[in-house]
Amino acid sequence: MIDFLQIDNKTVQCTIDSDIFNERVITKSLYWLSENYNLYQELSGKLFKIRIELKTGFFMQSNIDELKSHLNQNLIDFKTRDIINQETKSIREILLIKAFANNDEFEDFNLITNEQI
Amino acid sequence: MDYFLLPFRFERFENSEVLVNEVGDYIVCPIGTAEKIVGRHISETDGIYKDLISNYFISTTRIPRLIDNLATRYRTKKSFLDNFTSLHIFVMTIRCNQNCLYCQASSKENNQTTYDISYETLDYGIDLMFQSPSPYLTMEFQGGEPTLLYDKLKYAIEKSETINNLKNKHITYVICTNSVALTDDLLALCHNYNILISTSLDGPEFVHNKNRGKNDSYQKVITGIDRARSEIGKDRISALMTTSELSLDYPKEIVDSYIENGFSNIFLRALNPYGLVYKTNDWQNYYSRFVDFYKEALEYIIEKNKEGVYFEESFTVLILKKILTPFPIGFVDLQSPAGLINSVVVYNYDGFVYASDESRMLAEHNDFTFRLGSVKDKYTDLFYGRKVLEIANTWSNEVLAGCSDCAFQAYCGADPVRNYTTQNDMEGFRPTSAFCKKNKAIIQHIFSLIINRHDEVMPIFKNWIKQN
Repeated sequence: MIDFLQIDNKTVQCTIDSDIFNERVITKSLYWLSENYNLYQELSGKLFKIRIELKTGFFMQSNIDELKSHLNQNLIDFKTRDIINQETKSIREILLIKAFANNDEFEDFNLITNEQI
Repeated sequence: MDYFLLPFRFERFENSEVLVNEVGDYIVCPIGTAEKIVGRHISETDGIYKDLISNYFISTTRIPRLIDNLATRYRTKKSFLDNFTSLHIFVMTIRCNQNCLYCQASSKENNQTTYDISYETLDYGIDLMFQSPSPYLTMEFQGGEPTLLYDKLKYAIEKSETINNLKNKHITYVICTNSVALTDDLLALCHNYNILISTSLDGPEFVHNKNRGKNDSYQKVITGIDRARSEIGKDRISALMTTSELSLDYPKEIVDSYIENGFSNIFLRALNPYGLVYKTNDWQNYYSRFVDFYKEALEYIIEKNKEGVYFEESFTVLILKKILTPFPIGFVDLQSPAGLINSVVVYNYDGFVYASDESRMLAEHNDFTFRLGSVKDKYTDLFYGRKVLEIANTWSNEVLAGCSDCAFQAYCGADPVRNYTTQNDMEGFRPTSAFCKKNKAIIQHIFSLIINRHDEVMPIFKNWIKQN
């Protein structure tokens, strides 16, 4: 899914196709790596080039495999979360408006009209 | 399959996936289920389909027929916001007659009266308290050791009672005391005004005395607790423990000491990164050890309950209420929007108003970031001013990086003061946040118990919820 290239014993670089994972998904996935790594992100055409640098220690092959697996899983999960967030943005807004409205003006929403959508 | 998604979050742990919807209802399912739901690969014949529909994870219509039900449930979960600030803490002094190693309030020597609250500050604070729109007020006296100022305690309570003859609010009084020097006068005051005593007991004698830096503290506290129970009633006195580094090695002994001393609950409370202890601890290591301590103590408590002893762990009860009931909890550390200002405010001995108890602890180290203003300022300037607006940007975990997608968001809270203290900004950084790691580990552990040992633990957990 993503290409990994070891640059030196502290750094790997991966390339992610922005047609598959958008910037929001990539940023959220990388966020959880930032405890242990310095991260540098660059957009080249439709490819995101991510340089991942260990804050301490050196990469062993097993670390790289683990990192690759972790990042792949993060990307898949955050893409799923992103779809949920995008698809449910409007219903969430309606829900909050109804929940916090000070009177009944948002009750009895016109369900028939919406069912016909 | 044709269905519409409703807002939900998911997290994988152990060999399962937990889906949690907007109001905290959860479904435990196999890994990959969220992806299947989003990809429309769940059909009406799948066992989980009806669960997803009935628990508001998906809907057959773009807007669910029962959206008003869901909205009401959401409103109920956030109903702690309805009345605004209800807990009003008066820090009477930071003088103290103990010498706790972990003191978070940076207490001072017993004879330094410059650290006492003035009558003028009390008057202004009480006036602000009564301007709160909440019909329920809790007036809590803290320190240092607030009972060192008996005359001012009595004055504050009597003044509040007089004003309340006109305001007609429901007031609960709480005195937080170490109980080592409870006088007849104080206990009579507690009796007359139905005051609750919240005391500190860290566990067995050797742990408690070591934490207090005194050789006789435990015996004095136990004597004080016994006296208070006989004078004002057993249910009017509760105890809190703080888990020092030493305590981490004695989970069972600490639980036993609470049971032996007649308590039916314990709050396994971690140290907070404020006051004397802040600079001296390796916090990542401490919280990691605390989670192990918590798990071992909880396991022991579950065993005690199975043996027929009714005994609760209070933090677990709070999380369970969030997971298993539609209601909010009154615990300011697990609220979003955060408990500071919305639920609690502090009138400090120094004449200033602070956003929370922890905020005034920071002030002892000359950091006034969370000082809202003087007790002499107008209510609206204090509670709706620029400082509050600034804090409000970071007080909801729904909008915080790392929290906004977290499946356990509905069970957790936001804490800008802690973020600021430990990570230098109010938003905080979840990958290195000890608060996040600790809460997530505990919530996951509770879920793990519910999933893997359901028939064994649920009767106990439900009984705890029923009693609260």
